[in-house]
Amino acid sequence: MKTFYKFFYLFMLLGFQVTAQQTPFEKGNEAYKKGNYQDAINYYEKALSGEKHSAQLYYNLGNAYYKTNKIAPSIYYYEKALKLEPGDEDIKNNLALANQMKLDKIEKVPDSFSYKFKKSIALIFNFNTWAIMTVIWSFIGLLAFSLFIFSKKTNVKRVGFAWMFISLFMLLFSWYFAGIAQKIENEKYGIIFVPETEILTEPNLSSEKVAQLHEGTKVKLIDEADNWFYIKLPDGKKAWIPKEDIKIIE
Amino acid sequence: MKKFLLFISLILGISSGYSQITFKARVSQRNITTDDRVRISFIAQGNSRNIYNGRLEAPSFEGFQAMGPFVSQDFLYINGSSFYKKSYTFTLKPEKAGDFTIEPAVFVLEDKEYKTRPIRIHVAKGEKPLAPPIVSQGTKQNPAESQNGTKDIFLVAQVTKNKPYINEAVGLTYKLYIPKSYGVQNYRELSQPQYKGFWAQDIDRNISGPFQGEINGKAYEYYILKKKLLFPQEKGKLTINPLTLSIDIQVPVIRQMGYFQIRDFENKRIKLSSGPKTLYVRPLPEEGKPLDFSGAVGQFDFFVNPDRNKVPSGEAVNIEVGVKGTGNLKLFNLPELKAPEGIEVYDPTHTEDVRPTFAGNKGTVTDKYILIPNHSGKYIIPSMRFTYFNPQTNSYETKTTEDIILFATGNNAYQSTSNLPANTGGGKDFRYIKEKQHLIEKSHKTFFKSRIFYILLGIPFLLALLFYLYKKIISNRIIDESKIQLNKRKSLAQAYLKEAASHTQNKDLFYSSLEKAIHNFLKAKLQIDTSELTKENIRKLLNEKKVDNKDIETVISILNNCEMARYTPFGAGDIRHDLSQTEKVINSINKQI
Repeated sequence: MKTFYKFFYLFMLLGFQVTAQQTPFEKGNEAYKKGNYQDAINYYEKALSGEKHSAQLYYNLGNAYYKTNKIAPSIYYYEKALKLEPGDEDIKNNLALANQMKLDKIEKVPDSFSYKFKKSIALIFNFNTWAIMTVIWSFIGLLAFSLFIFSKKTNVKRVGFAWMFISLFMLLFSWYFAGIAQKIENEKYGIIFVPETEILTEPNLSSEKVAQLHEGTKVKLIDEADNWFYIKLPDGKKAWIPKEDIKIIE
Repeated sequence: MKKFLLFISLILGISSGYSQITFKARVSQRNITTDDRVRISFIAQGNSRNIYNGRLEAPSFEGFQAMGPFVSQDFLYINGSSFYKKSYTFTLKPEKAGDFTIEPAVFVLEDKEYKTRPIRIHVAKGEKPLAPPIVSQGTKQNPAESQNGTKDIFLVAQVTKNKPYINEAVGLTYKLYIPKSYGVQNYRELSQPQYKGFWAQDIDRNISGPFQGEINGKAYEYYILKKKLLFPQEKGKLTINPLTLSIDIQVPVIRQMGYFQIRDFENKRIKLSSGPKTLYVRPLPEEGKPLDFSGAVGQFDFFVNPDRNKVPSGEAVNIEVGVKGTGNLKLFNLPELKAPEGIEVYDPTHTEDVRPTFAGNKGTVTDKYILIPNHSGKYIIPSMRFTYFNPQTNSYETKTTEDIILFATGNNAYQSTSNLPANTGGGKDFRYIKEKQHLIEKSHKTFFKSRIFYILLGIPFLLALLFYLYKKIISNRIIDESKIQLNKRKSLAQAYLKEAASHTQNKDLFYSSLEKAIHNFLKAKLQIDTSELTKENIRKLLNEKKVDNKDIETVISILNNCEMARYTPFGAGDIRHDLSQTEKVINSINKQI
């Protein structure tokens, strides 16, 4: 009888392990493959409830929402994915498709060329990566310095000297872009989650209307007061919007 | 007298010949039934304008009920001659079946009488029962009192609703009631109502009738003069000012002709007014009024229909947004179609297929939009709402359509990008999910500008400084050591020199000491080891140090002497000379290096 129980427990454990091997993320992928997008969304959301997240998880969730024609969540999760992996082509591609579905056509005030250039470089990595690179270059610089001062061979000394300057330059370069990337990443944005809303000149409902916005539009958050966000539109307009109409991309 | 008469008649004959007056009777039908009506016209025609002054003495129309006459005057111009025509038209309604003769009518002009021939009319029995004999209420003995006859004629304005809502359809009808025995010849509008505060439309401009009606139990005939469709635009009391008509009627009278009473008609022109009509317009209830309410009142259906759901990008989709039903169809705007960012939308073409009825305008109004998706992909035309007030249920109702999903298929972007707008960048395809994920902590600690970042960044610099200092200390120590060694060797050289000086008697000891002294001196000066102390090397190194050639030769010759003295039996040279030479050359080299 005891042996029976032992076996029973063993089976239980095995069974538990088999199910535990498939994470909610994988379950979500499986549901997505079968076309059960709502199930996929549920699994992915479950996967998000933990302490960890990933760009891929947000991307897949965005895809599932896209498939179910939910504009705002789709754009929202693509934006979140892009925040973790700013250079990912797949995310950018599908975000562009999702953005086609939203209603607002807001002319963007173009950035200056130099800012655009700087921004495109800064967004290759996230700012922590830039910071790690800064540290790495400082160590490479140390190596080069050591070569320069300790080597007796003039050729090696010369190489060391050159690399000392290259790494010093690269250190300052990555430090600078870490700063820019951090500034960009610390900009808070929100996605409009209600089908239709009005933005106002003041943070109260009786104030004058500035414009009407629709689901899926991304706005920059500048300030907040009570239940209102002060936002900036891509065309430079600034106005107030009720907090409940917007979901912040954190 | 006869002559005179003849003369008169001649003149008259001439004048009558001149005036050439004809007077005829014409009848529309000679064989009728009791259901029919017959029109009889008495036409006087002549070439004198005078004819208009003529007067008709109508016959009695026995067996008929006559309406009229309708008098008309015409002027004709035929083959260069003018004709003047005056005609009297009566409408006759048979009273019973039988054969009747219409007696000649008499046209009196300037004391002359013209007569028509009698006309026989055969009246057969019709299918309908005959109308009961008319009790002619308006008939009065005294024609002077016939003014009162107008009391029997009414002009009535009727509305379908007395308390409509704003924008609710109201039908307005003007009816003219007259007693059956009366005849109407003509009417003219004296004042048109101003529909102030209303949006007014004609339903029917033409007169229709007669219809049978009743007022206060009395049978009347009525004509519908106008039908109007009104939409009140203001709340509160709205008054439609009266329609005033001038009517020519024929009132039946009984004339006293000697001992006979003759039934006759009297022509009258009377003025009639419908009286003002007041409506109490209710405002639409504020309670439950939706924000997107645009003023539609009635019963409607709302539709949004695309002509297709799949379209190659760059090609057009037509979407019809329309409202169908009954109400103030022309008086509100259709909801506007909102298209997503990636779709080009053109201004809609508006079509109305509507006809007015008492319940309102009935039909369909449509806005047709042309949409062109710029890129391939999926587009959602969001669901649309149409809100209207239904006066029948006294409530606001909303019709909502479903989301419309359009798929723009990528037309072969490789071949035909030219006909796409420049900013498309070709068609994008939706990309598949990612199978593997790279999990990271949600609470992302910012490494940049953190303490650990600065520490890690500082470490190499600190180490570099340490390395530098280390290197400096090491090299200092090496220099010190060599100095010590140098001094040691120098002092050693001095010591050996002293030793050599003390062994001037012993040739072997002297030269070995002397050699050691020179070696140590050179080792200190040239910083070389014992193994490197060959004569060639010494010469070379001293040459490099730019030592005087004479001194080099001296050093070499002394070293040669030392070797000779130590390894050969041959006596060496002068010991004292060699000693002094050595001291001199050491001093000399010491000065040069």
